Amino acid sequence: MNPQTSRRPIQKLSTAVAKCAAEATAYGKCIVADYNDVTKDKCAREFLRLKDCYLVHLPFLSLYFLPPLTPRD
Amino acid sequence: MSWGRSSLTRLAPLSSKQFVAGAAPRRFYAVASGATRFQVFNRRAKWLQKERAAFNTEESRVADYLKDEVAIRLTERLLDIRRHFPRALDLGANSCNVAKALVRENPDPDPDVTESPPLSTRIGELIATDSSETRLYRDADHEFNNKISITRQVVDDEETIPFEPESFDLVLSSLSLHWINDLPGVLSQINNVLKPDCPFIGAMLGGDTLYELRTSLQLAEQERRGGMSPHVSPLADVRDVGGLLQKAGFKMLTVDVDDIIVDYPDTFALMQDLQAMGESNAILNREMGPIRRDVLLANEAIYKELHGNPDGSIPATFRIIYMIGWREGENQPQPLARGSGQTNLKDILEKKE
Repeated sequence: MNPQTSRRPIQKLSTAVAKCAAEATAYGKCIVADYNDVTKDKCAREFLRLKDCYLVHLPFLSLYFLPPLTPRD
Repeated sequence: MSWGRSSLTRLAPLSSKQFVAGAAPRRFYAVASGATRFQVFNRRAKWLQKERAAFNTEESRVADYLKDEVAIRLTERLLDIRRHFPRALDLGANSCNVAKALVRENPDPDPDVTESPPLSTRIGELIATDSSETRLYRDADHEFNNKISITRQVVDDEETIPFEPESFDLVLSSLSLHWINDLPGVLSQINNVLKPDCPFIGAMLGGDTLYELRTSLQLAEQERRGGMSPHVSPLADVRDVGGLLQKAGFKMLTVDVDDIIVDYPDTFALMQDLQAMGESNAILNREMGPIRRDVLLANEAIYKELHGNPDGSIPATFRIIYMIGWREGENQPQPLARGSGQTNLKDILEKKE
């Protein structure tokens, strides 16, 4: 991967999430357990754990530069 | 019911006299059939996405794997038609992937002949059109351009084909028809530019394409935000395509499906590649702006849990619908009348075994 792409914010997101496999699985299991009946904040607890983990693993200061996280179309 | 009766009287057909006079104003119920054009995609957004994607030449070349593969499979269908095509049109050419596939070595060499030339020798002139100039000319200095007589032409809008009627011996289209708003209209225009008894061969994304991403994004948005916005295009199904081709006036139709499943390390890689292909979301009534970070995070977890492979990678399905239709022509083989068959197919098949 060339340096230009690895500097993209989405790459930081991707590497940070990859370090939270356990939390991600817990959240995924919570949703998939009954995916015909998903409501807002159904798995909020699991999600916050996942988000906490991901924030910890985000590179220092990168939060300040995060906003355009998604591939902008 | 009183309202029912009054509307019935209003709906009573106009007498022929009134029509002839031409004085009768046009009523709401006198809509000409086929005139409605549903706008699903934002064509300008699509054009911008293609331009931007192609601007990053390296990344967009890397992400060309799907288009190259489909172009190869599409051109292989040409092997069944033993003809020379003096003038061919590649509609929605992307980065001329079809031309690249045509100059490859012949995938089905004839064992009786020592040398079987690539398919491009059977094509006199290939005209490649696309709305995105950067994308169309991205590979203009590659060596495949020397092996085939190719003319690139940028069109303003892919929904109107700017060519004379009956001017092409072959129309190809690879992976671009799924962004067309007015598919029935474009198909009948294709039929119109073809010479009689000449084929149209197309490939488009359809049906269950990216259903994994569609479902997991829906679940993620539902859980995080309590509602959803479309992220994956509505796509035509196989049954629809047959009907559309027939409606556009094509004869001797062949429609078949092919699933290509690509494995990605994670959903971010998948979305980045889709973006580099120029295939990002361009639905008209989508929510503007990027997907929220929380939703992306949730989507990654749900996708892996719901569809992930045992090794931690994620599959993405691309369902390609291939279609072949012929412009009506003289001396074209016609299907026999229903029930006129004399041989029982069952007997033949059983004897063979």
